[in-house]
Amino acid sequence: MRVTDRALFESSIARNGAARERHAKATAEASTGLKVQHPWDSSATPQITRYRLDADRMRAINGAVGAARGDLDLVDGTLAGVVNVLQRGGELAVQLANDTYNAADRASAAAEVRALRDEVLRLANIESAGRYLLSGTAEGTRPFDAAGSYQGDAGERRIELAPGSTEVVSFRGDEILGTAAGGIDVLAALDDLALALEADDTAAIRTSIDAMHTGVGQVAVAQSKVGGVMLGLEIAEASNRTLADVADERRAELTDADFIEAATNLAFAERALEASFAATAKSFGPSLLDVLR
Amino acid sequence: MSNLLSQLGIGANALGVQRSVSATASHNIENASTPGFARQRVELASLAGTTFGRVALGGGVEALGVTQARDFFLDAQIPAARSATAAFDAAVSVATAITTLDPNDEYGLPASLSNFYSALRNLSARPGDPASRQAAVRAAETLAQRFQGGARDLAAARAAADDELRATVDGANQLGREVADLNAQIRVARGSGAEPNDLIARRRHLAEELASLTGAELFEDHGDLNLRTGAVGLVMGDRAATFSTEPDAANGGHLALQVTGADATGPEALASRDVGGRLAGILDGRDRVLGTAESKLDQLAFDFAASINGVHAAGVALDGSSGRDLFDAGIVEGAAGRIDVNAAITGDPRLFAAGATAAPGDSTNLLAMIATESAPLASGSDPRAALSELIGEFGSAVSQIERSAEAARAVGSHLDGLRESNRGVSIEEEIVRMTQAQRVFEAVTKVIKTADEMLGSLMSIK
Repeated sequence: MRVTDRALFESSIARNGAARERHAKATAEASTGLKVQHPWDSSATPQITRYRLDADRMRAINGAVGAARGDLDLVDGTLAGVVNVLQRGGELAVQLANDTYNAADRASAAAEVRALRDEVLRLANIESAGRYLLSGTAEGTRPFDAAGSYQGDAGERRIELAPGSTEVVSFRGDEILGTAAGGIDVLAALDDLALALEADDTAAIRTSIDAMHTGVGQVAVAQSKVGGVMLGLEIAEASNRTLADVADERRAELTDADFIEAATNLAFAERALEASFAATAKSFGPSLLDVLR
Repeated sequence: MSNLLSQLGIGANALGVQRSVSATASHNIENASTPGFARQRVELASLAGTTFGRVALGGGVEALGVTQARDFFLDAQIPAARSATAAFDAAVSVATAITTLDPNDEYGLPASLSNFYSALRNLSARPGDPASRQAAVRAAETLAQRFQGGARDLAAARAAADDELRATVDGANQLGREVADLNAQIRVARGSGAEPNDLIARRRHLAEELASLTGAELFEDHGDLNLRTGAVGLVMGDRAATFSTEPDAANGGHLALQVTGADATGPEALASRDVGGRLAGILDGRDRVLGTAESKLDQLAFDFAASINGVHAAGVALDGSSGRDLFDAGIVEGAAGRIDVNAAITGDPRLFAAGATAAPGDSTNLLAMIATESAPLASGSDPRAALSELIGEFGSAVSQIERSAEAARAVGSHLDGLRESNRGVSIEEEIVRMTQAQRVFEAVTKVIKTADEMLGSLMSIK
């Protein structure tokens, strides 16, 4: 086969161009850490996109779950406080139902019960960043007015725990502290106890002992329900985190460059480029013009 | 004596022949890098001379003409190979001008779609929170802007393809005129009896360039090199066709290709399948690859907006109002470039319909909006799958063309190499031929000198 000068130069240009292109690609891969930059770089771009969206979705669900957990922590703490208050109310009722106490003692205790009732009302109106947590979905409304009457609504707010699965993360004060779910009105029970103490009515005080115990049980049940929801959120959060990690890993397998492989490819491409330049220089070397003088 | 005199004449003729051999080698060297040049050779033949009784003496050398190296088989193969390479290269160049659909772009469409649903989920935890509402509306705006950016990117790439089409049409028209002019010049030159090798090589080179732009087929007819694509003659003798472009309202105002044939028929509209080469590649990249992506992006924007709007309109805003769309996308065509967030909601995020009631903590409608992420759109796929498919189909179309371009380049390069091997200039060869001609020239001058001396000897006999 005749090898002409033009063929020699053209092939050198093509060879060096190809080596330069391989080098540029290897450099880009090593410097960005990505082997897929454009949709046409891999036939797996639909999967890459899908895994990215999957991971983002699971992280977004966890963002909402995390925010709800913050609210639930507050509600849980609030209900624990109510239980403590009601237990103190029960202790006072048991103590002052005893005949060894007189009317003055009971009047003094009544003042404490009034303070306990105010504390329950304060706790029931717990808020976070301007949002009342025991108003159902009426977050902008104080759950209970000063008279202890429920002002919230019967709505419930749900968040997504996983695609297609939701959980109620709102709470109604009238169910936890009132009669809406078949329980007793805790604030009214404290009012009754205070009135009984003020009236020095030991029979009524004894009746309040049961009410206090019922109230404690009622709020404790609500607290355990909150705990159950929190546990559900924690489990969902962990599961979502795992799913996001799996999606990230699968995406990384398809799109990320292996560092060692990328560095090796770059070194190889550099060597190939140098070899191409050297071969080009050599191929220009021997010429009849050099010997004809 | 007369033989000695004729020997001087033969020698003088041989000097001229060797000079033409040397001049041709020099011409070859000078054109060693000229595109399309085919090396030339002086065809030599010995001349019959005179007869002395039973002795026949030679009459020296004559130059029969100058021929150029040519391989008809490769000449027939190369235009089609170049046309295919140019078509695929042009389509790749047009289609890879966009970055909108890059799967790893942190600010691209997939990321914005994720961020939108992420903002809805954040809002679902605190639907009454003004900051979360603002963030959700902002995420919706960003998503709309990404759709708009994608549409702009695709439209700009298609507009750039129009510019490229216009430039290619100008180039094809120029080449067509040059080939037709060369046909005319070659006819005239042949009329004088000489074969105009340089004009012929240049004509073939330009004709092949024209074929690579248009996919035209080359054929020789009575010494002319003509070109045609389909039934349309692009070059017929000394007449050339004229390509032109016209905005096509049915294709978003992008340029349509038409041609007025060399026989002055037309103008006739040409689709990408009617031509080849660079013109076909530009049209294919612009309309099939980018055009399909553009249509699918419009469809996705429209379907997505309709899906979200259907849910949003059923929800209730904080002020108790309902029936409001979140996105405004208009009709399908151009939806991606037009989609935007309802201005009323942008101005007052309280109008974002998060609930089934006006209660600030009601996230019922948000959950329904979040569910659209996995619900089939009118096209049959959910938004995530539709976007993944759009990106995948676009990438697959481009990579398929890239592979075809690579294969076509390999075939073209192989054929070019073979032809170059046959017709290209080897400087070493030409120097050897020049040296050979020089040696013969020197020897002939010696012969002339010897004959002259012999004549001198004869003339000096007293």
